[in-house]
Amino acid sequence: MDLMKLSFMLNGEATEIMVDPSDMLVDILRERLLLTGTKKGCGKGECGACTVIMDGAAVNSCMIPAMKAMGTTVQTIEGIGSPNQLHPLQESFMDEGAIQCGFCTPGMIMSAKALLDSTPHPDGAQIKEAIAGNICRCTGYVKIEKAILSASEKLKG
Amino acid sequence: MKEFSFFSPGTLDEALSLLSQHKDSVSVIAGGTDIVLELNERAHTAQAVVDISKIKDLRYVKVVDGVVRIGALSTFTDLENDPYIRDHVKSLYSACYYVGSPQIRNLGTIGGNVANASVAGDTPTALISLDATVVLRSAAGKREMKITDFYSGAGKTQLEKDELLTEIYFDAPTENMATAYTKLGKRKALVIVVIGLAVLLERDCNNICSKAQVVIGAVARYPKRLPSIEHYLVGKPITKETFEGCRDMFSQIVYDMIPTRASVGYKKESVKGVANKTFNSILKDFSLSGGEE
Repeated sequence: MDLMKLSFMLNGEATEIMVDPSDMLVDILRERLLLTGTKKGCGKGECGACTVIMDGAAVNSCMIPAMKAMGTTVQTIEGIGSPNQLHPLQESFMDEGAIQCGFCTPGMIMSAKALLDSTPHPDGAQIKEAIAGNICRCTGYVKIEKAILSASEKLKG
Repeated sequence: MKEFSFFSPGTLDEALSLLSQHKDSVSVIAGGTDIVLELNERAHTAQAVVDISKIKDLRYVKVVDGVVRIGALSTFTDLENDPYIRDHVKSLYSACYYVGSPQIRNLGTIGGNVANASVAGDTPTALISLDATVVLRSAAGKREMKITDFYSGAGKTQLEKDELLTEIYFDAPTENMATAYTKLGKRKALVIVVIGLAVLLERDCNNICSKAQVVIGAVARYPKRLPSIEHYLVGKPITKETFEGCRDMFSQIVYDMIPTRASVGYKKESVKGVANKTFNSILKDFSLSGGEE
C-alpha cells in the first residue's frame, strides 16, 4: 500500500514521517520515532499503557491509525519533562513510591497530566475517574492517586 | 494488519463523494474505538478507510425550537461536558458517562455508537427512550427515520454503504419530564454493559404519570421498549410505591426475553435493582421523596 506523509506536532516539534496508513500511532511512536516511553499493552484500548495526549485529550494511541494524527498536537511521556528537569508528576510518582514494575507508569502520568491541564486542583473522585482507563497490574492505585494529588499541590506552588 | 487506503475528508460533501466512489469496500471511522479494533483483528476488512473525524461541522449540540440536535461527531466527552445535556437530558448524560474510559470517551462519538449497533451500546438505549430520530445523508440526498426503525435486527441498521449518519435529534424534555439511565456492569470503567435501562417519564400537574418510555438494553439482541411497563405506569401517581409495584414485572420480562441464556438467573434478579436505581433517580429529579440523596 502507498505510504502517506504524516505531519504533526510531536512534543513541541514539527514532525514529518512517511507511514503506512494501517499503522497505529503507538507503533509509529515506538518503532519509527524511537519514543519507547509510550508502552503497548493490550493493543485494544483496555489497559491505557499507550496513553498519549492528543489535542489536549488523553487517548489510547494503540487504536489511532497513524494518519488520524495528521495536523494534531501530540504529547508523549518524553515531552513533559527531561532527566534534569522532571515534570512534578514524574517527581511525585518517584517520591510517593507510585511505581512498581513501571509498565503502566507513562500511561498513568499522561492521563494524570491531561487531568491536571484541565482541572489543576482535582479531588479524589476526579483523580480516580481520570485514571479509570489505566490498569496497574501490580495493583498500587493508592500510591498513584497520592502522587497525582501531591503533584497538583506542587503545581499550585 | 491488512492494508487499506486512508482518506480524511474535511467536509461532508467530500466525505459523501468518497463514500459513493468506494462504496464496494469502505469502512467509515469517526473515533475508531470499535472499527479500528475490528480492522486490526481483521474481523472487518475494507480497501478504503474514510476517517470523518475532521469534519468539524458535524460536532455540535444545539437546542432549536424545543428540539435537541446533536452532530454525529460529538464525542462522549463533549456530551458529558455539555451543560444542557447534563442538566436536562440525564439519561443521555449517564449513558455517555458510563462508556469505556476517559480515553475512549475522548475519541468515541455518539454517531459511531448508534451506527455501529453493538448489542452492548449505551447511548442507543437512552436515545430510544427519548424517541430520537436519525438523519442519514448520501451524495444522492437525505433521509430521516426514527432510531427504532433504523435498527433492523441484531447488529444491523438501515445505513447504506454510501450513507453517513450526520445528526441525531429528539424533542427537548419539558419541565414535566424526567429521564434516567442506569448501566449495570462488573465495575465502573471499561466494562461491557450487562443491563442498561433508560426511562423517560412525564407527569401532569397532579403528579400522575402521563407518558412513559422505558427501554432495556443488552438483554435482548437490541434495545427494546417495554410496553407492558409503560402501560402500567401511565395513569398512576409517580411515587416510590408505584415503582415498587412493577419490579417483579421487570423480572418476568427479562426471564421471557432470555429464558435459556446462562445469565438469566442473574439478570432477572439484578434488573430489579437496576429498575430501583433508575426510578430513584427519576424521583430525585422530580424532587419527590424516596429519591436518592
